[in-house]
Amino acid sequence: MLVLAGPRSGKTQVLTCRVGRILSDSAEKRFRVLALTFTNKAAAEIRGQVSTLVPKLCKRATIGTYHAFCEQVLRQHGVHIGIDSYFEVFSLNADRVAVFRDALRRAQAMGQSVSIDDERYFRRVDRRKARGETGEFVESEDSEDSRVQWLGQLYDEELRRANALDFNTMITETCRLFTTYPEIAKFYQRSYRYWLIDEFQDTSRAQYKLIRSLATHGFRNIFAVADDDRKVYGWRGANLQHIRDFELEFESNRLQFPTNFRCPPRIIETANRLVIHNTNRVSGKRRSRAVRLESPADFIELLPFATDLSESEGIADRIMNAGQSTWGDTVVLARRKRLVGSLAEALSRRGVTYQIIKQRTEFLSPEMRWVAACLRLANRPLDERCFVTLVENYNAFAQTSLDADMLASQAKADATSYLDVWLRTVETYANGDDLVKRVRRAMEQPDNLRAWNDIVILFEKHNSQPNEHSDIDEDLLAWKADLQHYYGHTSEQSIPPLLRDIRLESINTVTNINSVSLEAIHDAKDLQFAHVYLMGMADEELPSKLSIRKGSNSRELEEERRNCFVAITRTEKKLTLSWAGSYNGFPRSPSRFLFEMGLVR
Amino acid sequence: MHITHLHIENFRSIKSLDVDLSESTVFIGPNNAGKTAILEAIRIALTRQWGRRGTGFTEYDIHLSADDDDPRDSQGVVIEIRADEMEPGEWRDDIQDEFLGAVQVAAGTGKRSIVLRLTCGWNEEIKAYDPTWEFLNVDRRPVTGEASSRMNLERFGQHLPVFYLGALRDAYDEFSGRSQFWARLLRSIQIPPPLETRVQRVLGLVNRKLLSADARLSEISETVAGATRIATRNDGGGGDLSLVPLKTWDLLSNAGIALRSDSDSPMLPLQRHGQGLQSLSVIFLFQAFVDHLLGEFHLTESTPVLALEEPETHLHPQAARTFGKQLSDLRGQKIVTTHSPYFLQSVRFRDLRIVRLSEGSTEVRWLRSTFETEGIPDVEELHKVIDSVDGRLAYDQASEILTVSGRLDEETYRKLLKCFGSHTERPQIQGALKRLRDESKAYITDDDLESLETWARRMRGEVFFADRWMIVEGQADFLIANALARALGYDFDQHGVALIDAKNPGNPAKFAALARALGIPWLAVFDGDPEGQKYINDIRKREFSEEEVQWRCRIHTNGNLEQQLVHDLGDRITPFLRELGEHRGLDGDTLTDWLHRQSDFPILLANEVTGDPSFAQYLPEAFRTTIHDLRTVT
Repeated sequence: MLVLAGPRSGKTQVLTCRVGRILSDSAEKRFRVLALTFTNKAAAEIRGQVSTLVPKLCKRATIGTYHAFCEQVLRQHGVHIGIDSYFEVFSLNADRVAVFRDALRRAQAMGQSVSIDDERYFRRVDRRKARGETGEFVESEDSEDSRVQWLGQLYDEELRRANALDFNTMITETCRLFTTYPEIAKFYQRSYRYWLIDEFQDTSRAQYKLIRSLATHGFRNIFAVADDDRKVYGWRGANLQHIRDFELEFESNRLQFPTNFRCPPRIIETANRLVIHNTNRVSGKRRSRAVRLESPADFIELLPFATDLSESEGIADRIMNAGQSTWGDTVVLARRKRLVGSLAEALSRRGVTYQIIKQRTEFLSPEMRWVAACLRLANRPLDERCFVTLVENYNAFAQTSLDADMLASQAKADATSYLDVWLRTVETYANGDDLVKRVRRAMEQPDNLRAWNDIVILFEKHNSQPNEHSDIDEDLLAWKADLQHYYGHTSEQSIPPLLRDIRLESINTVTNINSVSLEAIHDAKDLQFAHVYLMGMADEELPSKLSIRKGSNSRELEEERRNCFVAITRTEKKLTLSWAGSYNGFPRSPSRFLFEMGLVR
Repeated sequence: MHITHLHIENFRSIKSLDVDLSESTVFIGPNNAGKTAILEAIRIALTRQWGRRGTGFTEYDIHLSADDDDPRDSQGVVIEIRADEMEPGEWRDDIQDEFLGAVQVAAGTGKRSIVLRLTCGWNEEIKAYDPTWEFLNVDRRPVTGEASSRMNLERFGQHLPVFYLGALRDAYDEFSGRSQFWARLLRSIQIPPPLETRVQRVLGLVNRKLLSADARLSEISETVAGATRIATRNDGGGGDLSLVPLKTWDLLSNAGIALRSDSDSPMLPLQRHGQGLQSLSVIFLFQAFVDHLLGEFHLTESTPVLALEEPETHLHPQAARTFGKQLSDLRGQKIVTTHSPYFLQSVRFRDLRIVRLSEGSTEVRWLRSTFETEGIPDVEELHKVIDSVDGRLAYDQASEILTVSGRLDEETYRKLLKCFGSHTERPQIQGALKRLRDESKAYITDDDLESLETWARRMRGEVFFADRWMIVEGQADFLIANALARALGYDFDQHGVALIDAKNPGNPAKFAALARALGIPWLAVFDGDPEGQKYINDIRKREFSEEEVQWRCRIHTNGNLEQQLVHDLGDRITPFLRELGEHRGLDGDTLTDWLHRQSDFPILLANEVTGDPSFAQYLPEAFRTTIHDLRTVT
């Protein structure tokens, strides 16, 4: 079953209700339901709703991201394809680039014709993976292409050497597992009788392949919800092709759901006018229809400015004048992070509180990054990269200047652990320091979570002036939430699961009701706001210069159009579209999208 | 689902132990060899308070290699319980649904399995032995995620509830209001309220009638009632002498079993019957509990694991044998220890586990049908060999374990060696394969076992309790060797030697193979004639090395037993001949043929040597040296 629906028409609710219904219809059974989402946030939301619907049965629902699902599968069965079940997850780009660099260095040392300059290929290697194109090296006509393939292999080998997987690799490896051993795919089918897929339009090629490999033996019980006008994650390799493939391969029925419940009619109309320019829509899809009645407060506002600077100042003024009570229900969106940044400055000059929303998978403050590194190192004593993180972050907040490389070689010479050498060194500097003492205690019993928490508590104590915007405060909140989440789930007080939770459950930003939210269009994307500002509505800003160059029917341009569509349809009451006559001193004309929407003639 | 494999380390007398379990497994072995430790290990791993401290492990539960070892320095106790599917798809899907994150899938066959591990070592921080339960992955490391939750572990215990019936089963306790089965059975009984009211009325009436039957009773009642008046200072208080139970529950909690042994005997309460019947009733009480209440206290689909010590206690031989047969009808998995050869007579060979102490640690031997070795890397050629032998070899890439069903024949062994001809770890791999080949020589086919089952059923369960075997041909050898051993100061019974006359029940070679498979040291004496040679050749064919055949198989150098005796006894034979009524002066082949038919002749010799131990020197040397060597045979 494929449910195609317009934005705000309650797709996710349909999915949630279906999970609830399946579970309550089979209350005495024990089989499970699998729901795959794109973000941890979406997963948490669905989980929350399901647990309200069927509080006693929600344990039978496995709701999570593709990565979380793959991680669990690989930890449990990956050993069949030679994956160590205690692999590390590299979610940070910096980690991954470092692995790529190591791979290049190693190949170079072995006399292969690579150089460190090949680092520039990393993005291509990555994209190739997102498309699910892995496997054996195939000689290609295009020599560049073969090179990317080959570099990809080097990267994979290096990851494996580090006993680590990144998000893309987790998906391709799970796919390989299911393909090599269909009995394991069958195993999951036995327990997961129903699968539900959220945001199917965002599925990457690799993710689609994963679903296909799991659906061996003619499994058909899949329920996907999709909106082909909301394809935000084009860069992840998502492709409309999947919706078509899905309908063909799984002989799915299509249910259309074009009604939008939350968005004002005029905005829906405008959004429809925009998206009709996308030729790549699923044919036969009906246009979104609004059911809300027009109310006087609903309107679209157009604000032209002379320069990008005056745009930021102007918007900031308006927000300030609207009064503090409106800030929590206001979001400012822009395609470029730079615009978000300059607005943030303008706001702070006016004393308007704001928060920049982004998806995170790591701590922000050096203190907590250091704690995480300590934990990880206690768990994986040979992880040199992690050791560097540990030393550098400690240097950052403790004002020391220890040299990670030097300590590492000392550890090797003494045949002792990195952590031990570091701690002994720090003890000579700061013996008697409470923090150092606590670290020593924690290190002596690395599995005792309480000992680690004692360290964190110390940060909390020293953090005498809690401030909603400081990284450390956000981190401390996240740590506590995680601890709670973790204690609620497992009985053992050992470290490894916690570590993973910190890495994969993205550390959710705690929303403050008195702050304006600032987002880049690509980041978190699901919340509705009463007032939406979309800045930078100029050609070569949105749509981007690159997409314009690719031509008016290009995939890239359609992607931009969808992004714009998504941004617009997040409005509950009022939409403000602004643009400037010049950005960074370069003259710009109003966005073609404004024309397409019929707002500017 | 049932427990298919058990791995124990550092627990009581066990240093390290691996044993397969079937649906009905019987452990035998001398006292203190570690049978109870095995049963207890299962019980502790599956029933103690999950994840909580103070599980009852004490320093005495930790295996020590030497007396002065400190148990706190030990690696700690490890108990692994493994449940495998015997066939893919055997388990109900809800088992998998419940333990989704813990269930492992064998690549290739798709057979599912769950491994639970309990580890317990000294925790200096809390000054106690601290237990941890966890499910294991294929690579033997703890699984992560929701499957590792305490609740899941507890649920697993619910799926395999262990019921432990120790050797000392007291019917008085087991049929009391406190027992694990009886009390629960009684409490589950539901009496409709109208009946309850009527019963109480009737009981009250009976009580009053009885009280009024004898004036003294009412007086006593009156006196006792005075106590409540003093204690409560309440005139309304009172008392009554209850001569019968006044509540239905009182009535039920005193419920007991009354039995009669035959139709003419009076009905007697169980406690008045013999110990054997009492002991047996307790076991059947377990069955009643499983039939009626398992679902209520555990799960309907649970597999009860019955750990049963010495079910034959106080039973006479036939009863023990009958019970042995009935054991397999009890629902669930049975893990039994026994000292009764009679009980053993109805146990399948493959279900038998022989427990003994070896170098201070418990060791278990049994008749395996598969053999395995780890440390075999995955190479392409390996799969070709596996494909070429019709499913006799299985390989699990994840654990690098190669399994052979039955014997690993020489040809396949060579092929396997070739797969690793140029592998960097060739020496280790070759070693592992060689061990696998050698171990698998112990394989005994089902056909062999079937022919031996008949024999075992008929008479000789006790040979499995022996420490070593002496194999001879027939009954004459048996009588003489037995008496001779006693005369030489090496009483077979006292030293745990089983003397087996192997000709009647089958071919001696089968016994030799059985002894090897069970790790029982053995020696044999055969006639020095073509038949004796044939037996030795049969043994040789069972892949004993030539050296071993030479050492273990002795022969009478002067022909068959009679020829040997005639030779050894010389003139001393005359009195025996006379006693047997032979006056004709037979000699040569005629004499030996004639002796061969005289079943009393070996008896006379046995009596003679019993009466006069010095006569031993005139009996066959092969017997004498063999009896001597039995003391040290391994």
